[in-house]
Amino acid sequence: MRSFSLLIFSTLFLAITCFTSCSNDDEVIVPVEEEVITQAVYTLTSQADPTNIVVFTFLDSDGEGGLDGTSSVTGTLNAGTVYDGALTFANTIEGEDITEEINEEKEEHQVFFQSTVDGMTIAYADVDANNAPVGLSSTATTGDAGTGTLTITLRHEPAKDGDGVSSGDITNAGGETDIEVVFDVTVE
Amino acid sequence: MLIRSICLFLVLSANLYAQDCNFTISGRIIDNNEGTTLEFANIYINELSQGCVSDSLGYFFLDNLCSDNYHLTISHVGCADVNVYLELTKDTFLTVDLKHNDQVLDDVLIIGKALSDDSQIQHSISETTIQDNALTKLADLTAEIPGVSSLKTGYGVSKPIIQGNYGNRINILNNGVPLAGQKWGTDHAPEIDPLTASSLSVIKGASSLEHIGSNLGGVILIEHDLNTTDPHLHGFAGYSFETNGRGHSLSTMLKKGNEKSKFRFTSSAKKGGDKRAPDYFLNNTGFQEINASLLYKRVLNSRWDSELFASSYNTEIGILRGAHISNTTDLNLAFGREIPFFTEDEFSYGIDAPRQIVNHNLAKLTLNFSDNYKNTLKVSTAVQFNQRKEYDIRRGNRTSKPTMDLDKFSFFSEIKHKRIITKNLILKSGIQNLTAKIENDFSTGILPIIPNHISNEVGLFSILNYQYKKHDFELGFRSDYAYYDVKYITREVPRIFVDTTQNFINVSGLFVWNTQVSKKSVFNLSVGAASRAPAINELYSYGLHQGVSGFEEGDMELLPERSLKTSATFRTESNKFYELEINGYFQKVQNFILLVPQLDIVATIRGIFPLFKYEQKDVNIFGLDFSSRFNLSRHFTSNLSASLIKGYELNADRPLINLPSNNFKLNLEYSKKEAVTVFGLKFDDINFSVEGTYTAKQFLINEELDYLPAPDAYFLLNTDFSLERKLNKVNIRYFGSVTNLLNTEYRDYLNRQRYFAEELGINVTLGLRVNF
Repeated sequence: MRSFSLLIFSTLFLAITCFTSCSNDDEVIVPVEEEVITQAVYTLTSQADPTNIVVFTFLDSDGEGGLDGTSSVTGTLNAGTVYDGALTFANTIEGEDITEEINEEKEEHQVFFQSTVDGMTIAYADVDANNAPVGLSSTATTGDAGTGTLTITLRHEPAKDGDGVSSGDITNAGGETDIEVVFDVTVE
Repeated sequence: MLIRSICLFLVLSANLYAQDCNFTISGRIIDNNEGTTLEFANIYINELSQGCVSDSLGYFFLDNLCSDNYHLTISHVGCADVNVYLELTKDTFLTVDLKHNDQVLDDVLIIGKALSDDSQIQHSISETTIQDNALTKLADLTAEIPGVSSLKTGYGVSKPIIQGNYGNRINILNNGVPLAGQKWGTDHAPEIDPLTASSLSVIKGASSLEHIGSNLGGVILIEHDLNTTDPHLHGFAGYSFETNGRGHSLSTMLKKGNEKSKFRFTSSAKKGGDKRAPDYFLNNTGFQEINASLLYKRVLNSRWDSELFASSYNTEIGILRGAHISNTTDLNLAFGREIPFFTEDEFSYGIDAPRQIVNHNLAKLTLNFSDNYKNTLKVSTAVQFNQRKEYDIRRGNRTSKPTMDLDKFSFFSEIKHKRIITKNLILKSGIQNLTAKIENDFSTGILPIIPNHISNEVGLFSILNYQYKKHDFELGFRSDYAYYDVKYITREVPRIFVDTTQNFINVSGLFVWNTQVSKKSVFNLSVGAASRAPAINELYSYGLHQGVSGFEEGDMELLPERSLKTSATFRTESNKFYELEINGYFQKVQNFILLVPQLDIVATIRGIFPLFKYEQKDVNIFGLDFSSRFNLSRHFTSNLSASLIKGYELNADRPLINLPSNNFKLNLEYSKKEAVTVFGLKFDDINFSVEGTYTAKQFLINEELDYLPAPDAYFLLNTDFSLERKLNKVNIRYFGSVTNLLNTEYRDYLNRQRYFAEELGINVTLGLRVNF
């Protein structure tokens, strides 16, 4: 019978520990969303006229899921102009700049620019330690006036040595997409 | 007049004439299930390496035996071996009951039987089969049973589907304890090592009311049998190697006992590296595992006995690197590729992100009371601790930090009572409780997909079993109360915690009718109504889930599922020539919960995102499982089995997703339980079989709800063998198999990673096991 009392005792003990430790009232803090990017900003500044600034912004204020993100453009893109491009990323929920983090890991990241506007080209203006392009800095050149879209993609762990990847062709890049945003573009 | 076969001694032991050596062991071999006697059964004395064969009436006779202690092994084609320990001091007569297997499908022994206190039909896989397939996962082992399939995420993670039901709908019991793991998610395999089990059983029927947890989708029982009264240490030690993934497995089992106390201890260790499709390595698909279990039974007095059970499961699993994607662009790119991204030419045992680390520990204490077999009472209590860590490819040196870090602590208790009211009336009733606490580690830097919560379930059941002539009836009732206390994080910013509670009441009923149609035929009908409360993940999940490569969104408004399942089974056999079983079923489920890929585009900063939402539909699932065995000659048998299943959503009139395709299996087996000489070595038991399986294309696919069309039909050729040598005191078993012998390139509809890579190419397994 000793074992029986032991069983009853342990049952009660376990039940008590469970029910007491199972109270859900512990104060917990909402976890920090470290890796979320909610905002991407691509700023183009004309090399000839520094007052001609065009800003492309994509913002998804509540992160992935929930509300859809929105894209907006301010400023006018002029035809036949060369622009310096700067790309920045932020986590607006936590108020954190993500650009620095990408910059520190530039060997593992690459931005791809795909434009459907006739004559508009975007070239890399920065490289990582292996002399491969990154894309946080770029040079955009517009051709004739026209409309189209600009897709900016940030890939994590792409095959930077893949066929055509270093010249900005995304086809053989692979990796995971951290950012993929599309903007309507008008060149006037 | 009985014709007794007098056995000739093959080897004379040295002490044969040294002492009083005039004793005899005689006996009869019967099959109690069938009520028949068995001829050609082998009776073997391990100590003397000698034996004999039973005659046409099942009798055997061994004489000139010395007074000594003997271990006897009794074997018969199509039966599981029986071991008998005997202290011979006088002439002894034994009656040995061999469990006759109704079917032997593939290399898997399926023991179909109606349990004495459970009228539902149960299919089992034996310890020998489990050990011969040491590197096979639980779901892939049970998938050998017609009507059971395996839902996979790659090559290291698989979960069983029983007649179309999986995940939260299936109840897995480890030695009677409902497995409190992470059942949700296609990438969460049951946290159990089959090598710890003495057998695995599946109940496909209408619903099983004796167990807490979901009872509308079938039950898998992980059994740990301990019926030894042999005072010597027995068991086995085995090793296997497989070429695909260069996997190794070591496993041992030890058992010992007497009338007072007994124990069974198992342990296993496994490790494998990158698997290989016919043409390329599947990088990062290695795994490792270390597991152990202990069962200890002790008789306290003439009425009480106690049982202690503990098991530990620990694994690390790599997920194919090329299957890691984050948006539909990545997905579309992956579809177009011959060879997945990140494929390397080198084999590696390394496991990098994406990977999972899972630990599951269980301890159970049971007390049994029996009062002259009129009343039996069983009181059990168990604790389980489950830890799951998942790692993803992350930015900012976070890859070594888990993206999901969940702890689940659960407490189970039950009291079961069985009363034999009259000779043909049995009443079983019980009360059960399962409480679980789930906690996230919030330092992952990612919003947890499952919120912190406590769930508490209390259930009551009562089952009446009545036997009338050739009929056996069972009527059961069960009611469960489920209570959730959830602390979820709002989906809107600023994010805050919200405390909420929910409760559900589930009611289930079951009617079973078993009847002996003729001496050799049985008919079983079961009708079960059951309901299931939506699980926490179905209600609250919100976040990125690696397993579905997408964003998963629960719905807090979900209602309980209500199911009505009718299952009819007919089983017949002719005099030794054939046996067959046919099972038809129809299940109607109201508010069937499924994870549906969404058609509307979700624009996020990562582009278009695969979004999956939990939705409810009214569905019908029906199908047919067929299995048969033909004894072509004394040594040749052939098995044919088929599983057909169909399911659709009632209102949308479209097919249900994730249902297995129709499949067919044919095998030819040669087995001989007599002394044979192969390559100059003497063997006592040989077995060789060739099997072909055909899996049809899943035509019933909801094209708008899938990213790719279903893969083509495929045919696979497999083969296996086993050879046993009986030596003095030990029995050595050599075994092996070749799966996908033709190195066929194929993809399977039920593998989530069919979007990214092909299934495994040829795999050769070789193993050795010493039974002592």
